[in-house]
Formats: sequence, structure tokens, C-alpha cells
Amino acid sequence: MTSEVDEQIARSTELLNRTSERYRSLGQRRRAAQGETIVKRLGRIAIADIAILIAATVIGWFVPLGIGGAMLVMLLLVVATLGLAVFPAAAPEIKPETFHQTPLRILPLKTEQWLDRQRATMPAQAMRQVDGIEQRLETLGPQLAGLDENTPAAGEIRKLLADNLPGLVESYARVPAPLRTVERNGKTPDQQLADGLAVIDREIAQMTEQLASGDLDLLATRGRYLQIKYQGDDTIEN
Amino acid sequence: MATTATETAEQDLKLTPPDPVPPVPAEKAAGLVPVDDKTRSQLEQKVDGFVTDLVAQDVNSPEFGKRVDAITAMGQKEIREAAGQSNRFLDRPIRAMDKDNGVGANLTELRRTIEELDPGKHGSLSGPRKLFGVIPFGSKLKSYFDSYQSSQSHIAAILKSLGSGKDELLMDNAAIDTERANLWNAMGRLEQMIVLAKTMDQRLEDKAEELDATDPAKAKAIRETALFYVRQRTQDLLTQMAVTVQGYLALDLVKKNNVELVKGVDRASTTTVAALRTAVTVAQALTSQKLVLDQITALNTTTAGIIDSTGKLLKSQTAAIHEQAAASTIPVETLQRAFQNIYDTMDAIDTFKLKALDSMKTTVDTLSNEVEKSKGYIARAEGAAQNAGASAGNQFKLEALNG
Repeated sequence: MTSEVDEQIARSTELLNRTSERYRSLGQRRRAAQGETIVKRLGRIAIADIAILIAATVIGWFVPLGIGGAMLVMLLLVVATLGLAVFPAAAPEIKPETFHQTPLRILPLKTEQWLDRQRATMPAQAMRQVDGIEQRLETLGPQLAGLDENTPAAGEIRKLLADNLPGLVESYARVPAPLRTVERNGKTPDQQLADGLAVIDREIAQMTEQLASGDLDLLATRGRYLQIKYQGDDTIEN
Repeated sequence: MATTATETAEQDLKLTPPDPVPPVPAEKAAGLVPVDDKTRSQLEQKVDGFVTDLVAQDVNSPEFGKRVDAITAMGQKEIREAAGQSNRFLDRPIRAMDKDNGVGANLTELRRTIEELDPGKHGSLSGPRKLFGVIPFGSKLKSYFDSYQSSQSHIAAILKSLGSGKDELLMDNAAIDTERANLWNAMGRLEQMIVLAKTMDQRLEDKAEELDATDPAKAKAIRETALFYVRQRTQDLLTQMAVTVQGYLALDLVKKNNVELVKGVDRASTTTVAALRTAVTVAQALTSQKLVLDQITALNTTTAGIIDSTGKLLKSQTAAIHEQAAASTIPVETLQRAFQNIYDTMDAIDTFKLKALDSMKTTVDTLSNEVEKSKGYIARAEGAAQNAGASAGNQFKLEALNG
């Protein structure tokens, strides 16, 4: 016999699983990005140190370095290691103003990264929506690889991701925090943000669908062709 | 003439060009795609909710305005979707009309090559061949059959490209099937919107009549704004539906044309191979030389599985040819008959193409006319959508149901 409590527990567990799954993908990506920068840094340090050692050896063949020289090499190694560990600073902040120059291919990724940083300033409901939008952007990214920059579709996508989405979030961020929950003309700014994000979410989903429609059609056509050619026509109509 | 067998075998090739697609009047466009009862009742519920909500608002409030905006944007998505496809389906018949470079060019080339081999073109084949018309130089008949050997690779190449041309036509038909499935979907959603608009018309009319006694100002407002826009949108939806239905039928026309053309191509290949086989038999009977047309035979065996009906036809024909050639005293005429079959097939294709082109032209003309007409209200729909903006659109969206 399952009691009401059991059912509730089951439901909550299911919800937790579902949400944690969603966060996992984002968290994983963030961790992966961090890991990548650490590997890059270590690589740079290793290259610099090896270069210094080789230079020291080469110089040592012609001129004896002596104790002072050895100390100098050691000092150089320490400076290079520390210096490269600290500089260059973490990836510079992404500015939506630069989105217009960003190639369309990586625009969804950039928008996603930017959006991820804005999450903290948003109300809880908007945060959930942002998660949804981020997921959609992830699907959209690879679809744009073959899209020509000059097509109207590309223009629409750029407008949405580079103008409309940042515009909405930024104008919300400019509203002073205490006013965000105050109703104005029937709606609070929080609600307006949520509504706007919902529209954007739907638009991105539709773009994905539209971009995929060509491929879906092609697949259906190929299947139908095989049917017509090798099984004869009129086996299945539509 | 002892050629009845071959003759009757060829008689059944009849390529009928489909009739042009007539213009579909807007009043008749509705109801062609069924809307099931469940969806219909859901749509009616939606309308009821919307109308009750609309009537509850103050006529002068922005809320009332927002709901009227939703009516002006009603079906805009469905219209845009169907219109986007109608722009594309106009390309296909047009492309089909000037697709003379593929199969058409191959058929012309085949005819040219076959004409060179035609025994009728070589004059009398009996008697010795003479160099400069005087010096005897081998047998005329022998050199005639030798010309087969030299042109067989050319014919094999043409037959092969005819085969790939046929594949292209089949691929075209597969694409048309996909497009038609999409169009059917779009028409289903348009139909839903038409049902919705018509129900809305009815309900608003009833409501206005009801309000005439109690609140004449509101009744007037409903008639002048909401009902007016509903009727306008209904007309737009019906017109778009008519264009889409017509496009759907036009695609069917292209498909039928392709099917006929495929039949023609199949038959042209079959008759050609049959003629060559006849030549082999006749050569054996007349000169006792063994004419080896390996490439043609190889081609025939590889495609036999794919064009099964053709294969069967060929087999029975070849048997008949053998019999005739062996028994007949005039085997060259059997060969002549085989060539005539090729010409007949090609003539049939040519006549078909001419007539089909006519149908296609008429269809394209009416269709582009309708599409042109529909552009006006599509622009209107886009304008309405922009006016309504995102604010009004998403809350009271009047859209077709998915599924």
C-alpha cells in the first residue's frame, strides 16, 4: 500500500531527478570550460619553462653561466610560471554590443554564456526560463553551422539573439530592484520579463523547427524514393 | 506481314497527359480537408471562452482592444505557413516544364543513334557492297550488322543515362509526396482556422443580437470591430485555402506527368533493347554471323530485376521475334518493325510532352494568378500581426490545434 506521503516522495524525487538532470548539463559544461582553461594555462607554463631551459643550455655552451647565471635561470623560471598562472585574466566579460560582429555559428554559444551570467539577477521563475532558453540555444548552435549569413533566416536569428534577448534582459536589469515587484499597468516588471522570455523561448524553438524542416523533408523524400523505386509506387499513399 | 506479335505488344503504350488544374473558388475551398469532431468541439470551446471573455470587457478598455487585435491576427500564422509553401510549389511545375535537358535530351540522342542503324536508311541490303559503287567489297549486309557493334557502347551509355534520368523523376515524385504531405498538414490547420472563424462569426452575431436589447452600444461595438474583423479574416483564410488546394492539385499533376514520362522512358529502353535483340537474331538468320552485343545484354541483365515488368515483356517479345525471324522469309522487315516500335514510343512521348506542357502551362498560369491575388491579404495579415505585437498575441492567441 502506498500512502499519500509515499506518493508525494515519489513525485518529489522525480522532480528532483528531472531538474538535477537539467542542471547537470550546464554544470558539466561550466566545469569542462574551467578544466579546459586550466589545461591551456599549464601548457603555456610548460612551453615557457622549457624555452627558458633550452635558451640557458644554448647560452651555456658558449659562455659559462656560473652560479649567478644558474640563479638567474631559476628566477626566470619562477617568474614565468607565476606570471602565466595569473595572466591573462579569466575570459573577458561578454558584451552583447559585440554580438553583431560575432559569427553566427558561435552566436548561440556567446548568448548562452552571457545569459548564464545574468541569471543571478533574475527572479526564480525567469531563472527557470533562462535554463530552458539555454537548452534551446544549445540545440540551435550546431544547426547554424551551414547557414549562410546573408539569408533572411540568419538575420532573424541574429536579431533575436543579439538584439531582442539582451535588450529585454538589460532593460529589466535597469529597473531598480524594489520596483521590480510593483505592479504597473496591470503587470509587474518580473511578469513582463517572464512573458518576454516565454516569447523568446517559443521563437527559438520555432527557429530550430524551421531550420530542421528542410532536413526532415529530405529524409522523408529519401525514404519515399526508396519505396517508389524498389517496392513500387502506391504501396502507401501519403 | 508477320509482325503482328510485336505490333500488339507495343500497342498498349498510352501516355495520357493529365488535365490542367482548374481554379478553385474560395467558397468551395472549405471542407475539402476534414476536421474531426473532437478537434471541432475543442475549437468551439475555445471560441466560446473567447467570446464570453470579450463581451465581459468594457468596450473602451484596452483589454477589449487587445482581444480585437487577437482577432485581426487570427490565423496569421497558418496563412503565413501555407503561403510560404505556395511560393515553393509554384517552382516545381515550372521546373517540370523546362526539364528538357535530362530525359528529353537523352531520348533525342537515342533517336539519332537509332536512326543511323535503321535498316530503312541503308537502302537495299542485299547484294555485294561496292567500293565507289563499282568495285565489289564485302557484303552490304555484313557491314550493316557491323555498325551495331560499333554503336553498342554508345547505346548502352544512353540507356544508362536514361535510367538515371528515370531515377531523377522518381526522386522528384518522392519529393512531391513529401511536399504534399506537408501541404495536407497546412491545409488541415487552415481548415481548423476556418472552422474557428466561422464559429466565431456565428457566436458574435448571436451575442450582438442578444445585447441589442440590453446594451446597444456594446452590440454596435461588437458588430463594428470584432465581427467586421472576423469576416475579413474568414475571407482571407478561405482565399488562402483555395490557393493551397490548387497548389496541392498542381503537385499531383506534376507527379502524374512524371509517372507517364517514366513509363515512356521504360518503354523506350525496352523497345531499343528489343530491336537490338531482333538484329542479333536477324543477323544470324541472314548472314549466319554471330552478332555479339555484350554491352546491351549486360545492361539488360543488370536492370532486369529493377524493371521487372519490362523484363517480362522483353522475354515474351524476344520469343516472338525468334520465331518470326526464323520462320519469316523477309526477316529484315521484322527488324524494320522493331525499329518502328522505337519510333512509335518516342512519338508517343513527344505528343505526350506537348500536351502535358499545355496542361502544365494552364495550371501554372491560374496558380500564379491566385498566388498573386493572395499576396495582398498576406501583407494585410503581416501588418495586423505587427500592430497587434507580441503583447496581445500570446495571451489570447487564436491558433489551430496541433496534431
